[in-house]
Amino acid sequence: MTLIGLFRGAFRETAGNVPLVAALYGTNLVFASVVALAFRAFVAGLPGAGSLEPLLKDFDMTLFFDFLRTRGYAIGALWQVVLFMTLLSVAVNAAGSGGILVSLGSGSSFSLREFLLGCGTYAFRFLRLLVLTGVMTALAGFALIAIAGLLLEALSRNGTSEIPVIEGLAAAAVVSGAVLMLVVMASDYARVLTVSTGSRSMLRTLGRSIAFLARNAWGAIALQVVMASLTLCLFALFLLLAEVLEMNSSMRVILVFIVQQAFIWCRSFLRVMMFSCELAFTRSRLPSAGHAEIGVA
Amino acid sequence: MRTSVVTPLLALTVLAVGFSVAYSGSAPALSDRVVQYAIDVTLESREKTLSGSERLTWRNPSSGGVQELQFHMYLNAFKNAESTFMRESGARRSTAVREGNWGWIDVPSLRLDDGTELRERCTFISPDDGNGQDQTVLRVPLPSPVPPGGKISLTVKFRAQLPRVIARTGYYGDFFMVGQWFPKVGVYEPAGVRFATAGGWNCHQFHAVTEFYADFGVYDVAMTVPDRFIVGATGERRGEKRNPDSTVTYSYHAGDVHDFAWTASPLYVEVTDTWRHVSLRALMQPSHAGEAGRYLRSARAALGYLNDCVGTYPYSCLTIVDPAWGAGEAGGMEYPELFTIEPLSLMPEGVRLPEIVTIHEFTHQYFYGMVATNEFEEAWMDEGFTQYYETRIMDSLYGAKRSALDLFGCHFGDLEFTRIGFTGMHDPGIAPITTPGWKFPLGSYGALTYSKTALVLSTLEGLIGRPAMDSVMKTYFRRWKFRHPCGKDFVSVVNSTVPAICGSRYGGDMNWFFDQVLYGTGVCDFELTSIAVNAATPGRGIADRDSGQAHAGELKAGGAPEMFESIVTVGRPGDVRLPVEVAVWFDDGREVREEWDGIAKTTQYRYSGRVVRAAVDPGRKIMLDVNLTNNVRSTRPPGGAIWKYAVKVLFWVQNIFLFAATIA
Ligand SMILES: [Zn+2]
Repeated sequence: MTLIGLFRGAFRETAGNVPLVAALYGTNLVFASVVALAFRAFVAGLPGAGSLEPLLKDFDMTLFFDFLRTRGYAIGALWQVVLFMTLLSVAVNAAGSGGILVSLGSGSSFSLREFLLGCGTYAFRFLRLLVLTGVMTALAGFALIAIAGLLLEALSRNGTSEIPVIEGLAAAAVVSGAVLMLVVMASDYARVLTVSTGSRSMLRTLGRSIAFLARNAWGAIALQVVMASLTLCLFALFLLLAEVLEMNSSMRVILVFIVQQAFIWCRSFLRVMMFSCELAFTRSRLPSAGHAEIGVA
Repeated sequence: MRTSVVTPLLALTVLAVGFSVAYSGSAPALSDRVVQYAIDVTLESREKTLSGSERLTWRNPSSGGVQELQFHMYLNAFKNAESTFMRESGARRSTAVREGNWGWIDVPSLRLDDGTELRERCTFISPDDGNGQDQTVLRVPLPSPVPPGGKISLTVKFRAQLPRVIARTGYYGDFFMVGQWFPKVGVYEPAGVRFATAGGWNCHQFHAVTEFYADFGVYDVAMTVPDRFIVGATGERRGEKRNPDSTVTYSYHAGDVHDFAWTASPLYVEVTDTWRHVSLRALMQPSHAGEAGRYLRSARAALGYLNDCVGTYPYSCLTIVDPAWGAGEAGGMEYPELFTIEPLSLMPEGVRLPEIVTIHEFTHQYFYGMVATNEFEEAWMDEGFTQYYETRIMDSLYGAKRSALDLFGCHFGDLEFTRIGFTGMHDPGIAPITTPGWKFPLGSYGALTYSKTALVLSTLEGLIGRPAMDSVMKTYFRRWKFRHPCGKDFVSVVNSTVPAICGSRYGGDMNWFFDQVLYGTGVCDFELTSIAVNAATPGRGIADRDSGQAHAGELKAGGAPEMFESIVTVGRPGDVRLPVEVAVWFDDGREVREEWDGIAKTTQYRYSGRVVRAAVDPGRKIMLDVNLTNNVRSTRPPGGAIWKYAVKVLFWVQNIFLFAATIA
């Protein structure tokens, strides 16, 4: 199967499963709204909130800093909301990815029962996988920081220019990005393999996923890079629009809100499409995966 | 006919001679020229040492005989962990100095012209803190006193080991920033100068945060360095001699300066420019050569601004030094006609650190360089004045809201940035800004001398207006350039200038202002305490229109036009009493401005009508106000602004959660 064919198929499948995109978009919208509304209530409820009205026209760093300094005591509570909602969103998303993969893998049209069954079946396995990938990322991160530290020390010792250090930092950033991408890919394919094979051992599945990626590196990376680039292009387009539509009146606020939500919808769409691509890619390279009974624990 | 030809020729000749005199080394003295130095120094680039001979002629400016000389021996600040500089800097500073990286200066000989050797008589003294281990001030008793107005000449041999760059001076590889490097005579203050009640030496030890106070004079310095080195220095280059031993001797001359610093490195890339009569020279590291334009442009802008708003830069040279990477501690430092910058490659245009540092360090040419205050005792007078003008110049160049940062929609003004340095202090009232530099409570020196002083001056400007402020500063500069003023001299200029321009609006003098914000520690905070809008009790009878000519009709119970009474309360939670403006906006679009003297703790304004918003100090003239969030109140709930930021928060949180969905 060619990459283009893969994308075309994934796009068609995602477009045919709009409820999956809606579920991903909706859950995140709900969680993020809790944070945003908590923020709004927090700010509006503080004494002197009326003084913030000029911020609609232009951001005023002086007022912002004074606000933080004089009302900062109340921010702790807001942070707790942010932390709680982030953890909840990670857990719900982990469970949700089971539902998305099962729905996509079944090949039939969307069924809520199937989606929820998928969510429930794989929730704990994917949470275990999340912990494993977290540990993997932390280990890789420590190793990278140690190597980058040694490298920077060597580059800066008696150096006469910061250019090698900047280059070193840039290289470290690229390598870190690449490692993070590999971890994300390993975690994604482990989920695809779990759903495809019904595996219960996440450690073994993660190992199989890494082995699969090692065998099919170029295809998998190409897939990842294309999707990441699409997201980045979308983001650039959004930034451009946001710059043009400066939020300096209530109408503009509403307009930008609509643009923002359109962007988030597209991101959610791309995320589901990515799963679809990965599922199809795994099946094309690992025919045994395709024959497993999907959605059954 | 002849005269008509001769007169313009004569005029031209006079002009040309006048010009060349004004901008040449033989220019008439601008200062009192108490000292005259002729220094020959050789840099051993491998050993990082200096060896030299200095001939100093010192004139007694007082009306009494002077029995001794006192010298700054500032490289000894880096001699060991027991120097006052090291003790004040904390243990971390001295433990960071690796073996072989210490610096010191030694004087093997001090000889009078008649051959009398004074070395044996010399002792180190520690007038500031009694630290017997500190060797940064050398006392030299003389065999006979220098008579009033009399001169003494002596030849001082010195050897110095430069430290690896630490606090403003030293080497890093082949980069040398040579500051505070020669035995420099202190200031003998005659009675009546600054705080002196009797003639005496003002020669402070080298401290962690302050280091400058010296007399004006003439410097002729010849530096011998390996011939691959490029040299920059205070003053103008007068000669260059290639020596047979692969060294080169550069001769520099500087008149009417109170210090001399120089730098050498084989890597410098030289970029030049001019501004009117001033030759600008940027000595850049190779990796920053392409960025020289930013620094030169900023220096030119500062020259232009200060020339218009303060006074003329009289020197013909200005050297900008880009320290080697790794020698960051030498960056952002001022010396006469030379200063160092702090460049970083790839700095986006919207991050204006290069401009800020250049403009700040250049401004020191005025407040430190020409108006030579005592940095030890009154650091606010150079750092604070410089900071004030830095913010003015930056704000004028890039706008008050974008002069420090303007990147990705995030922006911050330089004065705003300066302000949070002060308002962010744990205790803004911890000490008066007039505290001597080395006596500030830990961590408060920068916020009080730089930031608070800039805010004091900005607030003064807010009260009296910019034209009056410019007039004050021009008068201060004209009166005190090439001299040593103290705080009361500046206050006295304000006290004589402000009433002349503003009349009796602020009383006979401005002492009430300076007593609070300069010598006092009170915190300034105004607030718009409350807005109360009440339905007015409907009257009975005939209601007039505004003009009072026609009537609006008889008022009937229940049918009276709706009327409101509003009470606006303003308060002063802070200690500082300043006159402040109050602005009140009504629902019918009316705006009323009030002047509150700010003396009582609180005051009320009553209006018939419905007030929707009110603000104390609406124009943000009182930048000393530590809390601006209580300055405005509105009777309407905050709307659009909070939604705007809630929508932003929503979007970014959604993005974070979606990213989490990617990895989860
Ligand atoms: Zn400064």
